[in-house]
Amino acid sequence: MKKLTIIITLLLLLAFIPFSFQPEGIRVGSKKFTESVILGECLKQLAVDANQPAIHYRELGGTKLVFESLVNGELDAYVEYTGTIREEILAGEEAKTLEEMRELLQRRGIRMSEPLGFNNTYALALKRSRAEELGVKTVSDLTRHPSLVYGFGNEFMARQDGWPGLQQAYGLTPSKVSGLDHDLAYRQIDLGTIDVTDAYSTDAKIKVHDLVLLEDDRSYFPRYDAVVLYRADLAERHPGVVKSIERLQSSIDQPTMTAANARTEVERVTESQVAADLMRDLFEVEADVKKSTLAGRLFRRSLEHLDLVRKSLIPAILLAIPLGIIAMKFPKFGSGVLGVVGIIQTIPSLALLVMLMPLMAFLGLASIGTGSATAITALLLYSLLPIVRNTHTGLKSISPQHQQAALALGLPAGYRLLNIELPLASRSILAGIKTAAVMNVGFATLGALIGAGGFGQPIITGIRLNDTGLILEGAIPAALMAVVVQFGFDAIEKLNSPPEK
Amino acid sequence: MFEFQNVSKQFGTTVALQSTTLQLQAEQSYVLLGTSGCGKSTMLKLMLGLLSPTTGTVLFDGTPLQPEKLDEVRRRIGYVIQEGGLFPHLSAFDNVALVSRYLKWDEERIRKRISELSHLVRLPEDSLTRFPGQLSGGQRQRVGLMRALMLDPSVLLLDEPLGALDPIIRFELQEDLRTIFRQLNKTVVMVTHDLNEACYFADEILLLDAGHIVQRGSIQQLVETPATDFVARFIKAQRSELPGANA
Repeated sequence: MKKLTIIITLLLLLAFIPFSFQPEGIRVGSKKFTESVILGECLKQLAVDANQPAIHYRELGGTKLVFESLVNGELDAYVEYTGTIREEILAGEEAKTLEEMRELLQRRGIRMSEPLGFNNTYALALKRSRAEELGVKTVSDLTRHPSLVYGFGNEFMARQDGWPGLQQAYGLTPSKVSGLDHDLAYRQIDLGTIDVTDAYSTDAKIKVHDLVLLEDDRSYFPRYDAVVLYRADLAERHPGVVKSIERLQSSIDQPTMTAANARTEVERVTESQVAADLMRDLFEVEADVKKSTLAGRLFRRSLEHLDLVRKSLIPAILLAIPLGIIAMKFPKFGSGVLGVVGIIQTIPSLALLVMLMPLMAFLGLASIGTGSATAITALLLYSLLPIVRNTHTGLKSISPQHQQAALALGLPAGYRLLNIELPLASRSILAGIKTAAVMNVGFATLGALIGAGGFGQPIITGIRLNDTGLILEGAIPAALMAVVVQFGFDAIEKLNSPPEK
Repeated sequence: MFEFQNVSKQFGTTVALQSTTLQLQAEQSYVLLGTSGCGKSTMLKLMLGLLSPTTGTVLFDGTPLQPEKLDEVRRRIGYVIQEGGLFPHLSAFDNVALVSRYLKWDEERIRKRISELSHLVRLPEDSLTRFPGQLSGGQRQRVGLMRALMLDPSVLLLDEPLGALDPIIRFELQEDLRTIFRQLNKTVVMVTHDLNEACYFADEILLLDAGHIVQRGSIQQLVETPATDFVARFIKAQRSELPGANA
């Protein structure tokens, strides 16, 4: 019993001794596309120009996640689009004018700047060659070619103002429509596996992939004017920062933004540098853009990744083993537990993160940034299944002979469990922990969706920029870490198994 | 020592033990003899409370077995099964010491007792550092016996203790067992299907068939006045295993 207490204490220390500290400052966010990241960098540099330290949580998982973070106070500002605000954030509230939107946002404690000067609306895109071959110039023209294959970004597929509305407005009846990651859609269109995809009108990739945008001849797509959303209390806490950020209003036109996007996507200039150049040209703001080395990045991401793994895996072990024991001792409850942890496994990571965010906010825990309680809880939940199941199976497969020998010794249940049953089941339990650990290292890349960093960050950036090198910069260390974890547990297994000869 | 009052045991629709009433006296050696599935192991498990009777009451030392007192009763009974029922994750020493550690004996006392026992069962003390997987079948059985004797119980229950051993080791251990039983003066109940083993150990044999005791008595009584045709056939079958036994 004493030994057990010591082990648990050591494990908890291992899980929760901090080895990094969350930096303080103005917290700006961005979504998973280049323009959003560049504009996030602009916000950060403008805040710094107002003498406030600022952190940019880049490439967060989606509109809902970013906006909720802003409302919860986990972010101070980010750049959003009026169309998204109207159709997504204020869906069902019938906000038509900017003033109505401003009013509704104000009730949530959020303020909206004037438009920044460009309209990044949705458009449908085809390969130039394909469009010319078919003679397609407008969206209406598509109705004449029902055999075309459509592939849309997942967000566009789901949004009210995306595919569902568009299909109705134009009466489109394509043979095949599929949802996929937006960044992958461009690759698919290059390969010819899809013909039509959605694009943003300031998207640098239009040029790169030689696409043409179809004219929205029925004016279906609403305006997507970029605006800054920021917390009302930011104006009270740091009026200087708000003033500095407001300089962006009416200052970036469509060609400027498209060119900026292209510098990152085509010329591979970092978003920070593009933003710095933009801020210098527009406002004579000098930003200090730090260049990171590969070793430095790897070191930082390894720490971030390990931090997510340990903080989720260790509590998962401490939770899952008792759950497995209870599941074994109370079979009815047990099948319920096994069912629930099994279902958790099937929830997509972004959905799980969004579901957990309000709960974490309620508990006063941070969702965005390193040490994100939301990311850690999601990983913890994902790690439960193999451990609970293997604990249950391990205990269940103890031979009746050993069970009866243990009973016949006259040892009480608790003592039997700790000294006989769990050790006999330990091989199976360890195998479950090993599976959970290896999976956890892989799943921890989801941390990037919520600003917790780790090896997932270069992977999503790499996918966005179609940069295989960057994808590998995340994927290889993640795989290596999984292998190291696997070997580590193999060694523990060897130590744990009693000698045979 | 043990008393069965109208005890029966059913698994689903299968009757493992028909309603049985019997008494077993202290310091006697009993052998429950019979073919596999006759209910002899079931009787042993009922005595230990590893199974609870479908009907009737099992008494130990005049007191009915009660769930809340079972652990206490079990610590007064030594139980040995095939291969000793040792736990593979513990060394032989730790297997033997398991219960005494739970009872918080000091290590000195544990060492002393285990040393005594290793002499008694004729097992070299240095082999106790090994794990069950590293011991021979006979050694495992001796360790199992040590574990059963650790708390100096008044009763030993043995379920086919020599079952998995090859003939020579079996013979040696058989002799040692009898010596130990004589020395210790304990109540012994052993389950076996082997008539020779029964003759060797038993003050009294209880022959079982299809869940009931068909005859109870010494080996002479079983041989000379078999109660049923089954008893006669059972004895004849096992005696005829030896060449010339029928002569």
